[in-house]
Amino acid sequence: MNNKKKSSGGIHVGTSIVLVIFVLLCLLTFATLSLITVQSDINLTSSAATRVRSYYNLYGQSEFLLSNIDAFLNETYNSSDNGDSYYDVISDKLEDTINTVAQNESINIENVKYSEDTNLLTYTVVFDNKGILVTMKLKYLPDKYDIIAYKSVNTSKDEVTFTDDMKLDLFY
Amino acid sequence: MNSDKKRTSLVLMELIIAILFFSIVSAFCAKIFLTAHLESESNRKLAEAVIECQTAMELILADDGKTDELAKIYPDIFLSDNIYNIPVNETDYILAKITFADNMAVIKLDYYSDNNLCFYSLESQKYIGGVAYEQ
Repeated sequence: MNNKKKSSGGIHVGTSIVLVIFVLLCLLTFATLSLITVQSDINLTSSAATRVRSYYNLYGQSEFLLSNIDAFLNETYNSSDNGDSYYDVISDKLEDTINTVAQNESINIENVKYSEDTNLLTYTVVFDNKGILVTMKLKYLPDKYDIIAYKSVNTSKDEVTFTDDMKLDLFY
Repeated sequence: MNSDKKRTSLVLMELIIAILFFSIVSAFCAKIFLTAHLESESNRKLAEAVIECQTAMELILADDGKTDELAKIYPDIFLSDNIYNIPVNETDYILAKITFADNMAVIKLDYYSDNNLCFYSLESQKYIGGVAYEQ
């Protein structure tokens, strides 16, 4: 009658596989998390890089338009006898001139508006849902205008939608 | 005695399977970690390039196409073949090409990495014909 139980010692069957599965699950989780973080960082940096590039392109287009407006105002100022004739020419031709220049140079421009009451000229140069809004006060003086606003605006009317590049591919 | 042998071989078999399984999945995980690390490095460089190019561009635009203000931030700047070389750190540099035509300063910046690879560019222009900004 020997009822003494034998000491099992060593590892039980199944212990190691459970341990390995646990460790591997942890590893897989952390690897996936690190990849997700990097992917979202890349998306953010790429979109920031694209935005910066398109902003400076937009700024360049806006400055080019400004140079043409300045040239037009200069020409009008030199050919006008008084303030009334100066403002008459501006209200007749300025908007058309801006639109023509924008069309010739493939510049996307919106809301070109000259107000005769306040002598304020407003326009927005637009590219890829972003825009630069310029507001300037015209005057019958040698320096011709004051820039009142020159700011970046968002022209997007759409809501954010999820695209294919937002997917995470673990097996590439 | 026979049962002990059976048990030992079972444990050994299990260990072999566990090690095999561990090797395969850890190799896959290592690949993911490596990819994440490499992409993170290139992403860091791109972010740095964007910031440096933006800084340089703003300084040049604010200075109407001149590089006096730029030289205060990047003192090692030098001109070679009408292109400004702006060292950013030991390995990276920006090449700035500034041309003047019809009262416009056209500025093009290229960011080069240590392996002479241009991986970011910025282009803009500034009207320098006497713009009056309201204070």
